[in-house]
Amino acid sequence: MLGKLFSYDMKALSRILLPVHCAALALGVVGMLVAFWWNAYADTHSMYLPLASSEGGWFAEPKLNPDYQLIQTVCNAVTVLCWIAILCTTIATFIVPIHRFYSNLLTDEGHLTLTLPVSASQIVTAKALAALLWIVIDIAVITACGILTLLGVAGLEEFEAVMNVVGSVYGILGGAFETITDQGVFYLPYQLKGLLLILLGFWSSVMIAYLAFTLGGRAQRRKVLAGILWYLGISWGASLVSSVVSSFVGIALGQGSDTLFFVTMFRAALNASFVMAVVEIVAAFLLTRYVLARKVDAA
Amino acid sequence: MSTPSEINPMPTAINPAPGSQDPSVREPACEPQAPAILPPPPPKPRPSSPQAPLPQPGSPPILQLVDAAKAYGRTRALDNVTLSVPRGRIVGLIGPNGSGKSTLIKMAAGLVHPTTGTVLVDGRPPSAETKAIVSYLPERPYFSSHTKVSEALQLFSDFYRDFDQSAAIDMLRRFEIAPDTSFSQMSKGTREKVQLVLVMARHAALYLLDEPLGGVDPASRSFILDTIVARYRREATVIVSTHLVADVESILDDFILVSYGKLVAYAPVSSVRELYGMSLDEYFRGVFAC
Repeated sequence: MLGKLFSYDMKALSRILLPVHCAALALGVVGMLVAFWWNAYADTHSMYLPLASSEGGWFAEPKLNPDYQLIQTVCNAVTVLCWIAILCTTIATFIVPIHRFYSNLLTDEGHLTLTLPVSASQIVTAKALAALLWIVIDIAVITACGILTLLGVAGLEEFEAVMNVVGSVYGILGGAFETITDQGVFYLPYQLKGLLLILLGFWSSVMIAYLAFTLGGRAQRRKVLAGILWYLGISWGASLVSSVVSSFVGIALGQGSDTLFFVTMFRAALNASFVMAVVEIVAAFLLTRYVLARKVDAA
Repeated sequence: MSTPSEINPMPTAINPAPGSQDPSVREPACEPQAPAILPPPPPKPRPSSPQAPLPQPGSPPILQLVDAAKAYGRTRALDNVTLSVPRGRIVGLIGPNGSGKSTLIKMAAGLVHPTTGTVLVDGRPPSAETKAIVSYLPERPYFSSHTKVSEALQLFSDFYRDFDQSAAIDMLRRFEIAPDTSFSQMSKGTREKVQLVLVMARHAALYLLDEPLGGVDPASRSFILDTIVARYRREATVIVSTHLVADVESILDDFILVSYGKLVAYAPVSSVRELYGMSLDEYFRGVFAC
């Protein structure tokens, strides 16, 4: 039954997210082509107008080529707009699963879903996994768009260099803190750690939203508003707990060393965020399952 | 707590339910008038499959409520209702608007959790296992507007082992509903018919039909009732919640009357005619008229 629930959830999410991410990839290609074209134009045109002999020779101040400036502005604007649209896919990847969760369980559709011969655990698991898969796809698409843009700027012949740059971006994030994943059987490359951190952070936000809207579903009226308020409250509370925990851990580990104190605090904060993301996901799942099974009445 | 067999045994005459305080609801408040309209037609002979077994003697009731209550804030939608519905009956759950019919149905379907008391389906609290033997028809459409009939059929086939897809397709064909039609293209009555087909195409032990006749024209009502009767199996129980008593009376074995969340009466429909010489619809109108 879990597999069937998962496939129905994926079908519902894909109806919106698949065309959105295809459009994002298309925009990535557009951004790459715009960068290619601009490189070709810049190689054959000058930023400045040629100087006339009557304008004072070597001491004359060069004038900017208005056509060059206009085309440069347009290319930059197109690239920025492409990237705004691409980043909107990440917003859609956050909102669409939450909307599906709400409409499938807490509106009239809930009369169908909640009378299927499946448990609340299976329902929540299917929706969590469907959201996770689309988060992975979203990260892959954003990364691909970034690669396409960099290839447009650097040229196709710099493919290997571009891949190293992208890897190092994730590596910087992953390498900024030491964790048990740096040694022994738990070893993970820094790039993978960075990706994992982004993925877990995104997924925990979605799971907290699931919990928030389940709690909001208990309200008699204005369930959506109640869900949003619960989300803000739970997110704030989770951040507070994470800050307190990381502060205490950092202070405890940094005792007796002035030079290492702030480095240790920083690393403790990053490690805490890693652990807190896992804790939030698990806690949100368990609470959502409990509330949905025992406390929520279908409208 | 009483054993299931002692809880509200099948009444043979109309008796006020335990806990019912208001004596005025025991009998119609007004004297029955000379009938100004023809008496209702005799119940249609119910088609039954010769192969379908009757419920086994001594089998546990399919639905039990023990002091079940539901409160929404200060409003008590159901107030300490105790009843036991046996297998193999078509039961009308009747009452005016806001009397708690839908709440009772939803409790049995596992959509609403009782504030106090117990709800048991086939001897178990509502769960994934009981939902596999309960077929629920809500009062409102529960498919999203972009869903097609074929997709709804597929969903029911995927999740319900007892779903008879060929029977559903046959019923849809008789209703002249094409499988590639989406719910957004249908009228309210047609959506109700599709949902009813899906629900009645299952071989469930308990059918819970919440206002299946509401909002549809009289011709469609007959169609719907004929579908219920045609699909009925003798070992199953059907609970039909409605305030259109005259329309369903002919197919009912028993009725449960609720008012302001309280159980007022639970008896065979025939006992109304025997005791008061009137139809269930006339009895219902008399109880709530004055």
